[in-house]
Amino acid sequence: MSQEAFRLLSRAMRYVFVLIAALYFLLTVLWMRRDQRQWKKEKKNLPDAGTVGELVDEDSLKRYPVPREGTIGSARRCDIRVIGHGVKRLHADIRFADGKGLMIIPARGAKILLNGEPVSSRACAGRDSRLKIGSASLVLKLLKNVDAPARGVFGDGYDPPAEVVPGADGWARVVPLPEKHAGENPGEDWSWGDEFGAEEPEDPFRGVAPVPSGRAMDDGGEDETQE
Amino acid sequence: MKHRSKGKRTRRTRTMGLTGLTMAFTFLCFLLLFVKTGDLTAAAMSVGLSAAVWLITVVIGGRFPSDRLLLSLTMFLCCVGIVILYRFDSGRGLTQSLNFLIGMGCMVICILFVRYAKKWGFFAPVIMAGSLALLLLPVLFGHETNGAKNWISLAGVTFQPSEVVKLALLCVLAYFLSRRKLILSGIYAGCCLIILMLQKDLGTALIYYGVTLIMMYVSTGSVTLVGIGLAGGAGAAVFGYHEFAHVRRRVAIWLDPWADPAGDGYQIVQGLIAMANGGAWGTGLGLGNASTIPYYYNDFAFTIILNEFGGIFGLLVLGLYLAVVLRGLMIAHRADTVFDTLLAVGCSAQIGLQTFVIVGGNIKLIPLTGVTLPLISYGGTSLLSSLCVIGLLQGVAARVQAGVRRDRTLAGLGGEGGAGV
Amino acid sequence: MRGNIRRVIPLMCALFLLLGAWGAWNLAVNGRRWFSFSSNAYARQMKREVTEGAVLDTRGVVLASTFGEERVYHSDEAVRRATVHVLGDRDGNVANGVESFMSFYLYGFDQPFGEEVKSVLYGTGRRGSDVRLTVDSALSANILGWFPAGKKGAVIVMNYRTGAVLAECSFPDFDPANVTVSVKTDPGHPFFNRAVQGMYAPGSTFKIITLSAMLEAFPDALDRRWNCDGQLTVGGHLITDAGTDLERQVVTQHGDLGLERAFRVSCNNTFARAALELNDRRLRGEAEKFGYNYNFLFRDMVVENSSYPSDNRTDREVAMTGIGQSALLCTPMQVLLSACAAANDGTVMEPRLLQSVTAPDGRETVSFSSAAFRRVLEPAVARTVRELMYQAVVSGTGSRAAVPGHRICGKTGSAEIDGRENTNAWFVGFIDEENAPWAVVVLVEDAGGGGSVAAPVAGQIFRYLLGE
Repeated sequence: MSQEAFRLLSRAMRYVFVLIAALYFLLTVLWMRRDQRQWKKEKKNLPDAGTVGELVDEDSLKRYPVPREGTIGSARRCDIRVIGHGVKRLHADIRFADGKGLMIIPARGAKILLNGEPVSSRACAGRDSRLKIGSASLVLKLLKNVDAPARGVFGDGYDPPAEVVPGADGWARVVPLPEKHAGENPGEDWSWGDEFGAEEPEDPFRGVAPVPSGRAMDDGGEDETQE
Repeated sequence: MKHRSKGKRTRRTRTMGLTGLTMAFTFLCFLLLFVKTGDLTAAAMSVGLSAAVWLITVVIGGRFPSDRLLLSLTMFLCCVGIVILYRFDSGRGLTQSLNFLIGMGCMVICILFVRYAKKWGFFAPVIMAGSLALLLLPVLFGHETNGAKNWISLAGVTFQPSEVVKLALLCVLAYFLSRRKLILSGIYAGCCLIILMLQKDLGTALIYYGVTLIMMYVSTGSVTLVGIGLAGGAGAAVFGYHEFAHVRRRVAIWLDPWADPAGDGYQIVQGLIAMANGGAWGTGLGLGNASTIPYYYNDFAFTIILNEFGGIFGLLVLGLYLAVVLRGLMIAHRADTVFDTLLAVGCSAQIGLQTFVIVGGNIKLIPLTGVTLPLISYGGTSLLSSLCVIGLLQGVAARVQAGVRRDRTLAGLGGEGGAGV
Repeated sequence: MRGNIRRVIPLMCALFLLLGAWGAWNLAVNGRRWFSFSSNAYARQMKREVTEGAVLDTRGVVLASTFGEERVYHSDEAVRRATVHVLGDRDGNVANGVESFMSFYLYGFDQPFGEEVKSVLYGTGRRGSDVRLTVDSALSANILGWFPAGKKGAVIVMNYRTGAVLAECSFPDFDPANVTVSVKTDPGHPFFNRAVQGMYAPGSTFKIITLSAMLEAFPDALDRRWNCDGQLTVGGHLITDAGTDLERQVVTQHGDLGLERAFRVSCNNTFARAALELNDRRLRGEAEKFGYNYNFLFRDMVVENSSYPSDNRTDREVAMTGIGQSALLCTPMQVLLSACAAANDGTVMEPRLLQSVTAPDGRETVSFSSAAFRRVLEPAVARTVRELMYQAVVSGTGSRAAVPGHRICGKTGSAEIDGRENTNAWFVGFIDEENAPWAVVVLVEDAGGGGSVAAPVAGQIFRYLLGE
């Protein structure tokens, strides 16, 4: 092709390329916005998302949602904000470990009693464990399907429960998590759901009684569930 | 089931939309280059690279846990890079494409690594020690190129350890900061910075510094800490300015490159001229002469874009980099463990800061440093490490996706009211 | 922690926005300047494919046009020599002449893509746009004649209400149609455009700025009385007035006087004392208002920055600065702009060369637009300075620039140069009339007194402009 003709062609194509880039940018922005909206909808449909259960204060009956990983303390930015006598600003870190329960790592100088025994470096709390933090006495109520042993465990090792205490409402029974679909197409399942379609996401609560609103939730820590 | 496949279809359409645009862009660019020179390899690339893009989208996007938007953005930017490199030197273009394909593989490895690795408690100290050792290698054995001593050759392949250590820094810092070991993290980051300054690789040091600061801020929320960090950085900058002649030279060139337009300031002057030649719409692919700029293929890659594709295109590319960063921060926001969050924040900050530093140097906003434009600049180590960083980010995204799935399953079987009393 | 992430988002957005905005702004402001830089190989390449447009003066007289491969200039040598520093030449010997600085228009880089397509489709070669300047070639040619032969220097004529530059001459000049080896090796550097690039001590013309500073700092400045005994010692240095010859024991003394008379007779004694009373900070502030130390980024021309010294500000230096000596350095353009501040009620207009740009099809794509560079003085202060400058011409040192029946204002200067016997002669002034808003600066190097050498040249220019 002659130089002149190529010049004209290339200079004409400039506008095409800018158009492509602009379209690309536009689609990206739209994608991100739609995704964000989808996420918010998901969070609303799954109010418990990210939590493994609740800590219930035996005296005041206040319920604190327990995240998978977080902090307990009297500071405002703690995930579980416990205000009481003897509660440090940052009292302990908690981290949920599948199979072992809720790992509790007290901060230096913080006193925690797990089922009556003091926690030295770290301990794992199982279902219905009793935690005494300062003057507050809390019971750990884990979600039914969460993989955790009953009662408390000490140290990092896994001690099988001495006995399984069945509760009247079936809370103490450990139900194993559904099998991960390792053999199937992981990519297809790992999606945000219907991010781009106008369709509603699959409603997991279809046919199930709605969660009672107005739960006595303490507004602890950052507003992590709201965007 | 029917409902689900309909959702899949819409999702696929969207991904295909972006992928299609990338393919169209690559195809047209290489076609244009083929028309210009009659180079058959260019024609092959036009079809080959587009096909590769499509294939990667289907394979990685479909078969592996990944964030499709990030994947698509990454590929578009890489294609832009390959196009502009090929336009000047087909050898470089082909090497870049090869590195791109290898990099995609590395990205998948990183995704899987982050997604499935469990024993971070064991890995982290090992990586920490290893990375410091790696970083020290150029100081001890390396050879000096262009004022910086940060390359080593290993069996004929030269690479920059600082690019590999970048990944280690992100993982290690994320781990230790999530365990609240601030001092250890600070010392580790400090050592890296000192070694980098010994290597005279100030641009990378600046980025490491910024990433550390942002990760520390996100993990502690303490503004005082950031203040101290900034003050320390400012102090180090002033110290460096007084102590090192090459820092003074760089700053002098930045302030007035026109004082020595044929000598010291030549690079940046030619860069600005190239920018001016491009204007808003560019000179047209294949018509500019950005090759007059020394090291146009790695330091001034963005200027090539401004020169041949124009300022508007350049702004859009910047917008896409910003989209990558924001997407990363969105992923960080949704992560449920502290480690995931910090890792995602670190990766996003890393890409964002690196882009800012190099583009800033190109347009004379800040003094020019030796860092490269992620994904676009020429350089195997640079491209691979940027793709790995994106891989780490996607790994976190994969974990978030898994978490969502787990939460939905939990809720689905949770029955009445989730956690009752 | 999520809250912290939310705070990082605006940080990242701000960084990228900064990049985009700064880049776009920088390109918009400086793009043409970078483009016309001599080492722009791309522009040079592209220029080969386009026929360069013509350059015309304000009346439409063709100053330069292309015939075939040649660039042809005006037939009259005087016109050629007088406009060469504005016009520049194709080879870029003159820095930032119109031929290179406005090559963006002359080579059609401003034309839209459609034009390119048309020229290829119709087979016509591409032609750049024609550029019409504000320069008046007839005036310029005359200035060539009035300037003292054999002397170096510069002359600029400008419309102080619009900023249009009517003439910009630098001496020694040369003939662009005949650039010989001797021109290139001339030790006088004829390629150098002294009008906008030459750095000189302004001498007594700086008293305009010292006076403005006094008027702004002290409301009663005009009422003060000073006593000039002809010999002022500051920091061990003796400051005298023009005409003093200590060897012959002749000392010029002005006696008791106010600022008005001091300005009129250009009394160094008074102004040195005034500078000391102002102190360096106020004087520097005033100078910087007038444009000293500022990086001029005019659209049509490149003017060298003026510098007000910052080191070693002893009393002696400050006193010397007040009378325009010391380490002060400025271009003739700066001196002209200082006077224009007084002329135009305190607002200095941006000097412009571009009258219009005409595309090959006859459309005018760019028209003249005047823009204010800066508001330097309050109108009241400007009026006072104007009045004093008027007195300086009527009955002061600038009397040889006067035109009977017209209101001419001005200030002379005789700047001492180290190692030279003669001073540099300065005159800056303007016609203070509604239908004749022109300002002139004349600099004659190594020639003697401003009032005796430079003022007459200005006077002739004023007469010409007024049609006398």
